[in-house]
Amino acid sequence: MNQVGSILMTIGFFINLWTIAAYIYGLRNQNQRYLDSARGGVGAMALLVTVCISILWVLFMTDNFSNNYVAGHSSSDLSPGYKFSALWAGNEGSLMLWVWVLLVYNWIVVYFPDPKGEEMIPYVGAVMSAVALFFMFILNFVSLPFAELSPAPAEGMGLNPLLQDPGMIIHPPTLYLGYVGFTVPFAFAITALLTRKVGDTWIKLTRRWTLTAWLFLSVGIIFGAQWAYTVLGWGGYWAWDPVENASLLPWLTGTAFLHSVMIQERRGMLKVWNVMLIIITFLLTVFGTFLTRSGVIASVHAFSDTKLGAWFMIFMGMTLAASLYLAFDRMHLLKEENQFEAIISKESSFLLNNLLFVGSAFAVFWGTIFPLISEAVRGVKVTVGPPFYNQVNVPIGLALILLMGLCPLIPWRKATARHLMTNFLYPAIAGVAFAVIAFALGMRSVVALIGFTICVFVIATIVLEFYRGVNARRKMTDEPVLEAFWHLVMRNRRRFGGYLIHMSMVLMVIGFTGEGVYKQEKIYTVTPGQVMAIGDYNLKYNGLAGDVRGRTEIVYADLEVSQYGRPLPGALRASKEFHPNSEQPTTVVGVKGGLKEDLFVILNGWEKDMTANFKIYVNPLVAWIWLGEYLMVAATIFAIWPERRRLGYGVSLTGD
Amino acid sequence: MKKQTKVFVGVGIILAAIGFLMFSAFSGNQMYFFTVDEVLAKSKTQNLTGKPIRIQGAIVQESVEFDIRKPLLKFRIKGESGETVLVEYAGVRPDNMTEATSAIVEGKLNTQGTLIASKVMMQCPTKYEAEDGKKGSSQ
Repeated sequence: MNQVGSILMTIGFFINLWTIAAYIYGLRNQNQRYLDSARGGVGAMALLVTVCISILWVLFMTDNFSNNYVAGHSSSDLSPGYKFSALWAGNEGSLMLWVWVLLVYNWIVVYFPDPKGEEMIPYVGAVMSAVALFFMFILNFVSLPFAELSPAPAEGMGLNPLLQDPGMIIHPPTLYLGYVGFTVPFAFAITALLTRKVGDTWIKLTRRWTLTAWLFLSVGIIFGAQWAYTVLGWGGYWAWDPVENASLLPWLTGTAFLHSVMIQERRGMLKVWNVMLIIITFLLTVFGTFLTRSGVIASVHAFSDTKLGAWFMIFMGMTLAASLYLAFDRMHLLKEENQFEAIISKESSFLLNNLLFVGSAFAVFWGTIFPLISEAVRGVKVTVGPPFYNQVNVPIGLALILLMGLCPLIPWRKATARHLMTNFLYPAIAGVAFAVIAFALGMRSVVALIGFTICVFVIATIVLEFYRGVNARRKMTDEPVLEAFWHLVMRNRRRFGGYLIHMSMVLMVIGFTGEGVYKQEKIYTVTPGQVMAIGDYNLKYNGLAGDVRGRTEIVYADLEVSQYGRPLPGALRASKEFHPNSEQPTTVVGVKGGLKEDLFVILNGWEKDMTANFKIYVNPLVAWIWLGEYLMVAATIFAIWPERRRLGYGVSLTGD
Repeated sequence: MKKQTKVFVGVGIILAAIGFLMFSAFSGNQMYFFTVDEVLAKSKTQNLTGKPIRIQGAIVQESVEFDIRKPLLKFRIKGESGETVLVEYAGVRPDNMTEATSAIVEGKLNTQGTLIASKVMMQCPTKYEAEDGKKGSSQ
């Protein structure tokens, strides 16, 4: 099996080479036979790597420890789900997943093209194949997924217990689907430059791809945060760790891109900017993979493979140089069709949105790589901690949320005072009213007051937009409210989907603000019978107990919880699990959560006399972050879903 | 003023604001990252007391003491020269401390040269993520 796998990977590498060569030759000489052959190459690569990754999966599922990678990341006592997910527990499998997703995307793009962009497809296929070649090279010559281990050990080394969580089955592939997805708009942008057709066709054709990539990336990031929160048990969900930053960077520039392309579609502006943004976003997705996989910056997510890092550097450098050369060479084509007509207009608010996103990305990037820079320049490693990131990103984030309320309601070209008044009067009143009431009720934190006030304002603008839309429709059609609402959003998916995504962001910011400002934290050392108090809660410790699940031994404490003196049903269990393949126990946190706050308990340790140490948190409003996450998924799918054409298919092709 | 100029001025102001934000946040939050040997060498020539630093060093397993009642964790980390720095952490012993070979600790040195840590991170031998080529070999 290992030999079959590695032979197929080698064949895949050569087909990849051929595909690129055939594309180049075919495009240069307008030779359809070569283009068809290249197209076949794309299909063959997708098929081959699908077979290869399936083989690797079979090796994992059948506990075939003659495979070095399987032996290093799995063991026979794992449940099938974790054997399956162990595939992406290390470098080789992760890169395999990367290239597999990329090749499947390439196949979809090449075999199911949009008729409007058919002549672009060979270029796109060539660019995507070129990206794939890098990963195929790595998998054939640097990190070999099918390396054989002889003699085969009787048992594998097991999967890191922290990765044995349902969240870890979903988080990495989701992130990768997002990372890799940005290759598609990148390839279309490069194609636009290569073919000198730099209008908005490439943007229209890739809108769904970009949104889908963005969705997966967003979900991947938040899922990671949720996993960190519920499994890692340090009481938080985001630590500004280099690896976390690596996933946030392309998200920031990708989100900027999603917004700025609208300006190009509507007004023919910001063309250079858009091309640059997608190039940067693509590079940041590779940079993210590089940071995670090379261990170049000390991170709690410890991976190490310096050889791999060097190859990534070469690839990123070459891609950057080639893309920039192409962009500068075609700069004269990227002329703006319109100019800014007023300082307060939709265009300028989009520009501000982009500056803020990119500014935030730059700060995060700078902070992340600063240890490397300072070491190179001054010979001493200097790191910046979470306070740096928070001090920069909290103001920028709040400004972005505020802009989210303002921007959609500011008209194109030029806003008048009367217009602003009618759109913002009620939301502003709602915001101010909230601030006054909250202050009167005792809210004194400036960050919380500003944060929540902005959230209320933005929610009000969004609700007002829905209300106005429904009203306008009812005047025209006499439909009942719900029907009018339904038709309104169904016929304007993009617009109202966008509003709902904004709403989901507001929900998350409510969570971030609540947790950031009002988090409480206590450490207790207690003997059985003692009570620990935090916030409105009392937790009674009644001693420890043990349990066994499979070969895993569990030590747990069931705490009796009461709130405002009233007992809450069910015990709160915090435990440590001892896995057979690991010397270190895994801490399983106890969480009792609601919309208002989470009560979060960590069993730190104990002594023979049952004296135990607990760390307890009250984390307000964290559930809102996950609520926002679910709404974001639903709203983005809603926005991506094709609108039903009111006219026939043929007509809509020329219309639009 | 022309509209375009106004927009450029606006962009300039925003960029300056972001730049200022970065600069001010940056200057207050830098943390030097030393090895044990570097810390010992540096503290001879300059006063590091009270400055936020991050030190990496090998854990001296025999020196690990943990009092769960306080809780207080004490251990020494060793540099390549063999000299050590004492670390005190008013928190709990990390789960993976026995397995860990080295630690990264963040905190401030007190006048006795003890690092009063605010954060302790363990670095484990790369059991699950070995260096390339050595994966799967017995440990």
